[in-house]
Amino acid sequence: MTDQLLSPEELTESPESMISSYHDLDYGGHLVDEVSAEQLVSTTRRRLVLGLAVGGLAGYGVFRYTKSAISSDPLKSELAGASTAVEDAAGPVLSVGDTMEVEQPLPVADPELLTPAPFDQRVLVLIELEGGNDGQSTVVPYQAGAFHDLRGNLVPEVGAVHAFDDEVGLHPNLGQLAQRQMAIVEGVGPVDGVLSHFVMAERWGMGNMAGEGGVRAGFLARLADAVDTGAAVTGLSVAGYTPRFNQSDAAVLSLERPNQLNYLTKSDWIYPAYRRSVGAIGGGPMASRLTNSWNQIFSIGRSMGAVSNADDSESPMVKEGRDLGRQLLMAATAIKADIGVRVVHARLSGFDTHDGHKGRHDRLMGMLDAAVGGFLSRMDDAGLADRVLVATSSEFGRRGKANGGGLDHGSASNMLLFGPVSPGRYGEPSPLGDLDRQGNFKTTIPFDRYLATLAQDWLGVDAASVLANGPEGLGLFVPAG
Amino acid sequence: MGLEVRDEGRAQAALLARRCTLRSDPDLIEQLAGLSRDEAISAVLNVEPDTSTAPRSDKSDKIMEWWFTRIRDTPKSLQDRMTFFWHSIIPTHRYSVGQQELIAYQLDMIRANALGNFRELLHGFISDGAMLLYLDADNSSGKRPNENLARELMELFTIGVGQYKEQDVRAAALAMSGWRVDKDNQKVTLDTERMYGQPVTFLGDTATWDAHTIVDRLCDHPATAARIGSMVWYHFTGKALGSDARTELGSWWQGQNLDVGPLLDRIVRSEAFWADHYARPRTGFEYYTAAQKILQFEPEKVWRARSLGQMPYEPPNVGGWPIGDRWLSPDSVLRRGEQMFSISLERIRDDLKTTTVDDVLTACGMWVISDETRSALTNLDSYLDDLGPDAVGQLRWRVALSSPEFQLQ
Repeated sequence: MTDQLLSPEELTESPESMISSYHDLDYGGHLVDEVSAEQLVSTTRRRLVLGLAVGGLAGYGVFRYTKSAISSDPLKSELAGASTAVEDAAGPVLSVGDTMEVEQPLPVADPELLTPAPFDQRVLVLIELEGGNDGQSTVVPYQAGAFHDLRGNLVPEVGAVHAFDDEVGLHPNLGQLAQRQMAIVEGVGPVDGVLSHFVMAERWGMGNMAGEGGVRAGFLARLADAVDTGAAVTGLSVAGYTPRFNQSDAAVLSLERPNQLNYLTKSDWIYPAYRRSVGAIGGGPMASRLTNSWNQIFSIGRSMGAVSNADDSESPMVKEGRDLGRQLLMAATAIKADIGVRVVHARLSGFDTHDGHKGRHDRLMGMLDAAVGGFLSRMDDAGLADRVLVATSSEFGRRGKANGGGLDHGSASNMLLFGPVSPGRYGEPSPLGDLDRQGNFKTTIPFDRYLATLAQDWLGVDAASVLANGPEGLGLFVPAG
Repeated sequence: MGLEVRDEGRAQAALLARRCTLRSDPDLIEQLAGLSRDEAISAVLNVEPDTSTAPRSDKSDKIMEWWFTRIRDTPKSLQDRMTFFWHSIIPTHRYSVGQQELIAYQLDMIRANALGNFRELLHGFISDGAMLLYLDADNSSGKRPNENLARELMELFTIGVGQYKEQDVRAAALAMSGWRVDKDNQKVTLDTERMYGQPVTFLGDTATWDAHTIVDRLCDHPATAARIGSMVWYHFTGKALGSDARTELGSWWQGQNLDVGPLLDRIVRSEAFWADHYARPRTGFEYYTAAQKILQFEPEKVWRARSLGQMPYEPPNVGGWPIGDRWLSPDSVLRRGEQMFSISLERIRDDLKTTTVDDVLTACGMWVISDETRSALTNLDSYLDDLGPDAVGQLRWRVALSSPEFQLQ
């Protein structure tokens, strides 16, 4: 009855192809001749359809901006007094219902800085710091007496901190990254969060800040869908399976180890014979999907095999960056292979530092530095530096006060971004002397605004199409010309 | 494109085996092929439930090893197929459970009810320790009710969105509060001090509701039978029902008191069930369980199921695993192909050298194949001079298990 609403292309789809979970049977579980156009859209192009419980946040913006740094070296810019150009909107900490008019100076181009490539060439590499990364051990308020009072001997060695300005500096083990063009976003967290890893990782992963029920599609999946042009791989997880790519329509691949692709590229007798045979299977029901998938992974194997470099396994990126180094090496290979990757998920685990915080966090920062530093160098060498943004995320920060040698689950944290950003500090530091009810650092930037920055400001994806309530980005980049 | 039916009786038997058990190997197919369709259906549906219990291990991989071994060694594994189905629509994640013994308890509970009655199964879930922990009901009290379990119970496990209001979620959360899971002995109790125990209005009726009366009320709702019934329908037939058919199936199933047996019987005897040999992709778990029997995977290597993307008790989220075309995606194909090369076939099968194309097809339960699959397997003979029969034999297995016919059901 509604055949005329479907294009011939859509009619070739079997009804099963619209079903990706048992719950889709509620909405899209109709035989093709019963599917209305709206139903087809709602099932094949899944989007956030949510009411949002957090009112009054739209239009809110606490903004703190270091006008373009003097050079790409934050240390030098600090020494040159860049902090005098800070627009300081230090107002009261966010609470639901507040609105505040803040002037947001647009970043301006600086010839000495990398400026971003056009939107359709940009790649987002999001690194999940799993377990809850302490924002204040990463971006250290090294001068603040209140911080030393809270943390005592868990404070990183002040003399070794890489000063970003006269308030904060990067962790001593982030030496390589401190030399990079970078931005810091402070006070990023939930508005009404909980202290469960599982719940908060899910909220971040689904881009579901309010914890609404029924959000099943991953945030990165929605980004990949929004930038999808039918590439062999649009979304890539180099950390194995991640729910962040759940329910993507765009082609997404998750890799656990570099050698996973071996059978796609090896030339020992059995591999080419296998490839030729499965590539020729083709016929039969639903086989065209399978054949397309084979062709996609074979082309990925060929492309990635052509650019992978065996010597890299001995590089500091892998030796010191460990698992994250290996992951980002795969990411670098895939990006260099130019197979259409636009959204990458990587993961560094071990941030749940309830005890032994200092030693463990120090080591993790060293790994982050070596892995991301090595990755950025490879992007530089490949001439891709203006196309790639590396950003961190973490399900929560950690408790203000030490529990002895460790830090319990917290709330807001500080995020780092590397690549063609307009350098500076963004957001608003969580006040050290005004912790929340549980003794945690307060959120000043709701994390959906951070995600909106990655979506809208970096990838050019309308934030309202991928996040509930259309949160506003923080504008970390020179506007696309 | 042509489809070759190698043997009509065995093709029908293979269809029944693929969909109603977790195996498709010759032992079972030969047995079913000797029966009439009615007899064969009865043989796979009327199975005596296994009452053995999962090991009380603190390692969930050990529990899974036990389960995979049982599945491998049980020819008519409808009970375990339905157990996984219920788990996949009412999932629990092992990470949020803590004490892994609770996984064993829940697995036993689902297995005991898998072929029984949906209402009883839900009553089991609502007071199951692993479920209470997974959906935060363990800490829910009358003073501070947690809505997670109450919401998912309605949204996902029974009536579905659009059938209730936020007020009903709050009311159900209060009514279901007070359950505790003892951290020391994993016993589940209802703490009358912490429960709400006051009247609330739920789906229009004001009463002193509790978790079990809430479940009963939801099971009496026609939307539950229609929703869950159509999920079971899809699972077995690979076909989605239109809305009228959903309503019809639901009201019929309600008349059957939500007993699982009659529902399966009706579905398996339906025309839709027998209409196509290949109607939907095998999910990761279905692929794993079929392949583990044929290739004799070592059951202790449970990570293979994880590598294939569908490890029980590790769902991507509370909505369960994807179904449908996701299992034909590049990601899934890559993983299945990789598995084919991560095992040393000659170590686990001694009949590799002697197998012909038809031997392999028979061993894999492939009785309806496309011309392309047949020729791809036959063309491997052209490598005989270069590679020798051993290698070609190994390749045959790998290609057969990578074919559309083995990835579909």
